[in-house]
Amino acid sequence: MDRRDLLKALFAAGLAPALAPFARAEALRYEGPIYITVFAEGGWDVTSLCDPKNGQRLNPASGENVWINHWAEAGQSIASTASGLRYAPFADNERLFQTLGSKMMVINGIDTQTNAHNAGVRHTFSGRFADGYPAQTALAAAQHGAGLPLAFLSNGGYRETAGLTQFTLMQDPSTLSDLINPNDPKWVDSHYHRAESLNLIAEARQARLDRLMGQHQITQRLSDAARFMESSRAGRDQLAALNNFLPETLAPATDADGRWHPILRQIQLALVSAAAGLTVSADLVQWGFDTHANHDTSQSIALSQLSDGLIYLWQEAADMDQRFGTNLVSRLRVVVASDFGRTPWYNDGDGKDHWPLGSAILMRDTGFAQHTVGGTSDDVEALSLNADLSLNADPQAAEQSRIIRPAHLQQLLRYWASVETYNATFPLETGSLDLRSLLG
Amino acid sequence: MHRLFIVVSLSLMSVLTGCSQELASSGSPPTAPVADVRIDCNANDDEFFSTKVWPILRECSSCHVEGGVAVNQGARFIVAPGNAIASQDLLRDFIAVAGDRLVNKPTLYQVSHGGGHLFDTDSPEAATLAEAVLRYSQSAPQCTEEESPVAEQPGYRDVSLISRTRTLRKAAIMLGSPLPDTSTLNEVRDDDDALRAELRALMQGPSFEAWLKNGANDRLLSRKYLDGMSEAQETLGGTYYEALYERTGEAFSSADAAATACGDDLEADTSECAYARAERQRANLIYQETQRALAEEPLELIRHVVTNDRPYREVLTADYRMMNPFTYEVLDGASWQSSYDPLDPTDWRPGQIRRYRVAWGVSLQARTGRDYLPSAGILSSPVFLARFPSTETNRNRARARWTYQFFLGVDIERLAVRAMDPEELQQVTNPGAEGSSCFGCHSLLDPVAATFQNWGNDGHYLDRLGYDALPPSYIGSEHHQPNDRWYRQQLPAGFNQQTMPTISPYGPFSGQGDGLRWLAEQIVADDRFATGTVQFWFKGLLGREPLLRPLEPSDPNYSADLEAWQAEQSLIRELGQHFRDNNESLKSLLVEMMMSPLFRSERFDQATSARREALRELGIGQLLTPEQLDKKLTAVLGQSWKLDWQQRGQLLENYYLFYGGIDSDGITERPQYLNSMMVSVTERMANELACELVFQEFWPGMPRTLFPMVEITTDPTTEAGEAAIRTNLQHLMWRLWGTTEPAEIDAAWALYKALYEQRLSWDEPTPYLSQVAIWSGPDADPDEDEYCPVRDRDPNDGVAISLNWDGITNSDWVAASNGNPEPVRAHLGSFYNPEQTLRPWVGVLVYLLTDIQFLTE
Repeated sequence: MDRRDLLKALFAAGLAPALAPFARAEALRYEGPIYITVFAEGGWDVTSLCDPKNGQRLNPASGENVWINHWAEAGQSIASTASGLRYAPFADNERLFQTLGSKMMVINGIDTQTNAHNAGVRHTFSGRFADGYPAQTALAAAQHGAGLPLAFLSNGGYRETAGLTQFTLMQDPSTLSDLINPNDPKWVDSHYHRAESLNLIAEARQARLDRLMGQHQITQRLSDAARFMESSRAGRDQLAALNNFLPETLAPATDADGRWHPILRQIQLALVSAAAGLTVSADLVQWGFDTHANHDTSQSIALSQLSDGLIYLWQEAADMDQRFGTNLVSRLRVVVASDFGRTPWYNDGDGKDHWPLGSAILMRDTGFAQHTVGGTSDDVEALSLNADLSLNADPQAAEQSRIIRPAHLQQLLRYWASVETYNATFPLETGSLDLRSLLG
Repeated sequence: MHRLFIVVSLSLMSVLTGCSQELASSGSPPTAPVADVRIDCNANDDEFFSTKVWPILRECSSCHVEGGVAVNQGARFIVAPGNAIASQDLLRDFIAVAGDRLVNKPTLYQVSHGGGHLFDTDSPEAATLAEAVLRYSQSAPQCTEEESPVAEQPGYRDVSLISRTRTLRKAAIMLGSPLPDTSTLNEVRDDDDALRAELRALMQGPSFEAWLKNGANDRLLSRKYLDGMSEAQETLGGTYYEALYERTGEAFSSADAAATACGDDLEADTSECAYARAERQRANLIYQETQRALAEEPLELIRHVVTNDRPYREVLTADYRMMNPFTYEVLDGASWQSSYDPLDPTDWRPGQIRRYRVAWGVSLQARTGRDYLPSAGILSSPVFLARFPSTETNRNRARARWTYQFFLGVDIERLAVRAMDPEELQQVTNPGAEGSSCFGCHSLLDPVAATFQNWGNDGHYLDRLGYDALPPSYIGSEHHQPNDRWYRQQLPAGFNQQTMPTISPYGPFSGQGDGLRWLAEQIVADDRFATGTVQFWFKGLLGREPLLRPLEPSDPNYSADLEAWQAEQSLIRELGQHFRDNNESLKSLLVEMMMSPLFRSERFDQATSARREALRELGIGQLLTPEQLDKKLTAVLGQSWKLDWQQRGQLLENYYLFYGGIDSDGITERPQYLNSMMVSVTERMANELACELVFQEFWPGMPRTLFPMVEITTDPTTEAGEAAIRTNLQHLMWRLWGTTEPAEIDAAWALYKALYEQRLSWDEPTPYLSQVAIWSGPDADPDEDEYCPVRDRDPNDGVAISLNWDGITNSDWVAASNGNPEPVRAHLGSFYNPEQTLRPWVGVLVYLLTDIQFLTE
């Protein structure tokens, strides 16, 4: 949809005249890559997903050799896609990898260097332990989404913005339509104000914000509040573009077994907003991975729902492209990650506890030249990379400086999102390891 | 202290009180009345009255006394001779009903006066009485522009604070109270002690109680079991809480039986179906209120402790649990001595969990000898324990972590934010054992975790058949010894180097009650309980977390951040000491927090950008939560934003999550700043409210909250009209924004005038407040629509609002066409406004309601 179409939609919504005085509210339409982070909340078990382990190892608690996974104990084998991407025969992995494997690059053996949730999340998604670094999705929104009303959607997870942008939680599309057109009464086909009057009010509002922000002594808090109001208001008029993409039916909020399954709706609304050209980035959350007890059952549910969500993401994007010509599929840049991993043994409650080594899965429509990078030993210990980014399979020879850490992941993601201009403000300690060449 | 004067034109204040029946007296003076009135903010009300007003009123006492000539003739103005205090009260009463007649009468300005002309409109006496009208009017702006004090606390001396009056106003809004009236504002204007007293006075009643519970829930998140995906009853379960489903089960069984008796059509007009409907309603009520009572139990404990002025430590040491009839009947059933209404959800009283079994067929009493579960305030709350569950390997560490965080202000996970030794992370299976770097934090965490030993992973007491809460896998291990209550490999229960006394090593607590009771006593005796309490209430009161200690010295703002953090920590310690010195009164602590720069900072004097950035969450500019904005609407507008059928406002229902609400489950953090969706919510709010408010307020006979100084006939093209509108704008700004800066009044006036002139420029602007094309025939232009909700919002307020089109006669329309709108207006009220004076007010109100200073405090 070009600007003319957008204005047509706004005229239909009775909002177009209100745009007229807003030089700074020039209707934008974001056409670039859409950065989506899927947060597997709680610490996923990558040995039953993308870094499959089918052997035994020492359980330091019992001093015995134990099976890392029950599926391996039951004799099931590691599977792989045609391109050689290996995955565990667990949960709904087969459907996930056979459907989307060609779009994936799996980064295994990411050492988060902690087993505390908050520290793990902060480290994985910002690149350092200390507070204050923005998420890659926030950086992308700040870099590419100026003036967009919904540049950064967040449903939870690590959403530090460092004051660069603000996040929006998208909920309940039935109410959403009321917010697209706040000048239209709910039950009457009319308007609260004539457009000319709204223009006068809008001009007065802007002048007021200019006066307020011109007062350099007011609290930073009020100044920031005014600044975000200004940018939000300037972009607000573009919300009408959502009208063209709102779904007639909502994605279900429960899975086939009646369990809460909100990620589909998160995806649906993120894609609607992206299709409308209003969104640069979105954080999605799949809960339920902190499986300290009854691991296989609970982790399987969470992983299956995650698979369901990822498959739905690409399928729904393709469907929307077909319906609206939105070109979403080719624009999606997806990363899936978690706090950290889980122990390569079961505890007494048949659960698995925290393990510092985890993985990340990157996805784009064209896939990647290399499907897997990094890895862990059979005992799920960190392995380092060689200079050509191939895996040094000898755990004894693991060079600490070349073990993949969250800072390397973030360096890669910042490069992917073309937000490296922020590196000076938020420097990452990456040492000699650089994964950026993986993106080709 | 330097004071500003408030300059207010009273020249049109006569429009306030509608004195038209006495207009055109032959004695009206030819000169204009007092044009400008100033409130001398150097004098308080008492000083002003005794030195300036009383000398004038003494002259009035010859007629205006009980039994005097004037009073016998019906005059309402009365003076108490020889009693200045009583006379001041009488004067306030008179001004409340008669306004500027106080000055119009003796000057004979547009009214008659039995006592004749006493002084001229431009005389000093008239000026004094005019000031009295302004000063004592409940709705008039007062000395709101007094100089801002400078913060006295170390680390904040470059910060100016909002005035005392504005502090009180802000506090009232944040706590959901009505706006303070003028006399209250005047009392606090120069007096910190008076301000403290008034702040304290806000802390009572349902609004404060709701604020308390909201603030507590922002931390404890127990409403997950009310607003989230998990229901409270299902979470607690009937396995242990043996009667948990008894009441809801019976209610729904009864409703089902009644429905069966009714037949297929539940809406049928039969007594059986009426009964069935009532039973269904009752069952739904019992179900919903039971969830609420369970989910809010820890919040109600805090409310109970605070509102009854008990020492705050009782939120941890309470040896009782809060219940209302919905939980009392299914959890207790024996404690309450007096009768109660079983359907009253507001009747909260202490009780005990007696109806508990440790296994099917095994009562608590039979296995343990206890009549009821031990209690340790929030720590033993079933929903607290469920909200922060444990596992066999976590072993209550999460509960210990949150206990440290909530009640001691210690974030264990931040004690050592650094990369861990990878070998240790992979090899250490017992981080509580000495020798690893894990031990530093776990030596604090694990003993506290062990004090939760009697409470199972899901929060059930002694859930292994009443013997202990250990998992079967451990019971069968070599480590377990008979009568153990905790893991032998773990650090024993304790706190702060103190080991919990037990009957045997790792055995049951040897004192009264439960290990949690012991823990609670240790916590409240710890110095950090006071500072932890301060930090607990940061979020609820200040809308943010305490500043985090900066960790990265290479960060460019490190020094400024460190300075800000140190100053805040110092202030927190000071507040904590005050809390201890005042018998752990939370109200007293909240008052001091409101007096502090944390709440009141308004301006930075000569701050560097680094300093400003470090203080970016300080003071005013705090985004109101949907709960607070909902209350603010009622406080400043006199009504909420609510559809007729809604129990709660739109901000708490349809738009709650869009506007930054939480569900205490997956969504637990509130945004700090507005986003586009939130801006849209505010615009819809303003659009839906503004015209209706104008329509209602200008309807004849309706009380004036927002527009006390103007009438529908106030003409903005006249000097007097502009003055009245400006005065009213000042009034509106104080109510809505808390400021009355002249530049902002100028801007609002400019908007009013522009909207007014725009309307006059239109070809035949509608004379009605609402015009909708689809209701106006085929020639109507939808672009000219101006919809206004027209309804009687409160049919029981004594003023009927309805448009009587049928009552309008031809002669009424003729009169209107000849420039006299009143005959038509007699039937249409404020809906009919050919003068075009009201729609500009709608626009101004939208402007004010969507401003950042309305949405923040």
